[in-house]
Amino acid sequence: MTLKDRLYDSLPWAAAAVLLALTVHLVSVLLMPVVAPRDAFGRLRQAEADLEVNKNGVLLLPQVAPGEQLLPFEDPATADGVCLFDLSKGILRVRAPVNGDDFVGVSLHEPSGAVFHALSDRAAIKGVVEIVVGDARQIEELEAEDEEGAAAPEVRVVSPSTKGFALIRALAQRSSDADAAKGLVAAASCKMETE
Amino acid sequence: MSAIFWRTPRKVALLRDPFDKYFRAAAAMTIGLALGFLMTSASLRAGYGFGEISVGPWKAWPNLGGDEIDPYARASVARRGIAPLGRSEGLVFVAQSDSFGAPLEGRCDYRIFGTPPAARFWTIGLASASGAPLGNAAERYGFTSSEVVRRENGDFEITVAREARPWNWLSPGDARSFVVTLRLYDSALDAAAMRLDPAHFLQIVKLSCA
Repeated sequence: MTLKDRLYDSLPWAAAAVLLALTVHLVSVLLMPVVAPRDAFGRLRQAEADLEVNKNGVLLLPQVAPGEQLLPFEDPATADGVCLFDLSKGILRVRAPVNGDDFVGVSLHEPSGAVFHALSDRAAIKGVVEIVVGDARQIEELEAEDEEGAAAPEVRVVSPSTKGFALIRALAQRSSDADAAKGLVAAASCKMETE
Repeated sequence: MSAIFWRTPRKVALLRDPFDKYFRAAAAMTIGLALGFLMTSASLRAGYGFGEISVGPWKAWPNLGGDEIDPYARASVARRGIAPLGRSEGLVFVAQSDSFGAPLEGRCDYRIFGTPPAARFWTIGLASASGAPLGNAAERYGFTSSEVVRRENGDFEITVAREARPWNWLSPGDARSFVVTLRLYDSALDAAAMRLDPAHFLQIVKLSCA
């Protein structure tokens, strides 16, 4: 057997290895959001067990500090509040008050952490950012209840997943504003509304 | 020596031949699996999928905060456990190297200066490569656009050094390496971001190394 024969002989095997590598790569990338053990939702659900959810239904995350950080790459200058939701129990209504001067953002995330909707305080109406999250059927029902021609009083978002979380961030412009930012997040509310 | 080593004795060859295909199949499968996982690991480590904007040492992934997120970005977000900023909230830039391309080291001093892009607010901070804040004696992890001390013309510079420096100072603490994050809140930056000029962005210049 010459070297050339050997090469031709192993060519199909090499092709099979490459094909398998590509398949494994694509499948593992696509499955990662489902199987990642320490994704944002997993971290927050664990935090929900350890920390206390306030009376408005918001889980206040500890101020970002070395060794005390739930989510990587969170801004130490923001106060963060989280609401985990499960739409099988009803729709979620998030209300975040804003003061017009400071940045407040509300982002809605799938369990993997990917954002499916976000608003900043620029979208606030009468000093409040209000978002209703539901699945397609829940939002449809809500819209059917609306009076003809009346504008919806809140932003309605269809969630791509049953579970997920809303993240409310308030930026403290100076370190002396940290408590005010925390207060803004603590004043936000999340309510699960059953139909 | 090598000739003896490479020549398979006839007896052994005869014995092995019926199993030869199994050996090859096993080898192809092992190599395929290993290669596949390596590719996944490398692609997730490299960043957050497609649509990367890079301006000098700064990198951002605008698709991360919206519906157009690609499978690589989604996998990377889940793997790292982050909750990215929504696109309508702002944009995050991360620099892993200085403006000349050298990786950022904790033992070196750096100066960050220039003009950040238009945004209602911005913050600049240091973090570890995995996104954790760096412990330092000053207990300061970043500056916001409101608190940074500026010159009369509005420009500013931030010194990154382990030991205290006058004016705006950030310390990487005992970290061997770090990244710089620039977060723009309510930024007007959009498609124009693709044409950002590194010379008119924030520069990171190494001053000296211990």
